[in-house]
Amino acid sequence: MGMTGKLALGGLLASVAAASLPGCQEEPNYGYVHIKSEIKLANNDVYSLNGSVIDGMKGSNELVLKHKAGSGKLVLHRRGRTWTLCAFSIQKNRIVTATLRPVNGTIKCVVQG
Amino acid sequence: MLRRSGSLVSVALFSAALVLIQFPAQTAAQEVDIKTAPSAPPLANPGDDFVKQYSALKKQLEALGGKIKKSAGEIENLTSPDAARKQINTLQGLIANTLGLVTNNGDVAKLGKRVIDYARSKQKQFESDTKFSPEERAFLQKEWKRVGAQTEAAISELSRARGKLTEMLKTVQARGDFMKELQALKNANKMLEVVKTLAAELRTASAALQNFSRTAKPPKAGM
Repeated sequence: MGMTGKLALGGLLASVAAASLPGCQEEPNYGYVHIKSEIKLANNDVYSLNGSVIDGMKGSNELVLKHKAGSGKLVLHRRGRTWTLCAFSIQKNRIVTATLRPVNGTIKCVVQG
Repeated sequence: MLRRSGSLVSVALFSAALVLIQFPAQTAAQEVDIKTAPSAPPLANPGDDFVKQYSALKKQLEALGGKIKKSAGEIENLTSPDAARKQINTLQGLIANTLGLVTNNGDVAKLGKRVIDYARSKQKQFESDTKFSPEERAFLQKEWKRVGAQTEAAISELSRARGKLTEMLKTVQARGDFMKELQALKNANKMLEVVKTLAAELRTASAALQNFSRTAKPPKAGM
C-alpha cells in the first residue's frame, strides 16, 4: 500500500472511530419554525411538518417548533387528502415564520425567515 | 306426544336447575377472582416530573436571560463592526438555545399538557365515583381542579416566555441580516448604529425574560 493509500485508510479509521464514540458524535443543528394560522380547522384537519403531526394547532393559532436544520414542508391533511401549503429552509439558530391565511376560499402560506 | 313433551319439560327443568346450581358457584368464583386479582396499575401522575422540570427550566432561563443581557451590553461597547457581527452571531445562538427550552414541541410543554389532561381525567373519575363520600369526592375534585389550573397558569407563563424569545430571535436575526447587507456596502458607521439599537432592544426583552423566572410558579408539590 502506498503512502496515499495508508493516509486514506488512517483517515477512514479515525472518522469511523470518532463516529462510534458516543461523546464524539456531532450534535445535530436545530432551527425553529413559527407557524401562525388564521385558518379555522375542521375536526379532523391535521397539519404536519415533514411528516410529523403538529399537535395543538386547534387550541392555539400559533406555535413555535424546534426542528432539525434542513428543508421543511408544511402539509394540511383534510378528509383523506393532503395539501402542501409551503416549503422552506430551516437553518441553524434561525427562525422561519409560516403564516397561513384564507384567501378566496384557499389557504395562502406566506413564508418569512 | 304428551309423554314426549313431558320428558322435554323435565329435561328443560333439570337443565335450568343445573344452571341455578352452577350460577352462584360461578359468582362466588368471580368474587374470589376480583378480591385476589392484583389491582390495575394506576396511571402515572406526571405532576411531579413537571414540577421538577419546570423549576429547572426557571433556573436555566434566569441564567440564560442574564447571559443574553450581558452579551447585549457587550455589543453596545464594541467599536469594530466585525467584532460586533461575531458577537451578534453568538447572541443569536444563545437566544436560539434558550428558545429551544420552551418550544411547543419541547419536553416541558409536552409534560405540562400531560399534567393538564391527567388532572382533567382525575376530576372526571371522581364525578362518577361511588367509593368515597360526597365530601371526599368534592375535596378530591377541588384539588385536581387546582392542580389543573396552576399547571395551565404555568404553561401560560411558558408561552409568554416563548413569545418573548421568538420576538428576540427574530430581531437579532433581522439585525444580523441587515448588518450583512451593510457590510456589503462597507458602511461601518451604520453598522455600529444598528448594533447600538439592537443592544437597547435586547436589554428590554431580556429584562422581561428574567421577570418570567421571578413570576412563573410551578404547581405546588403534594398533588
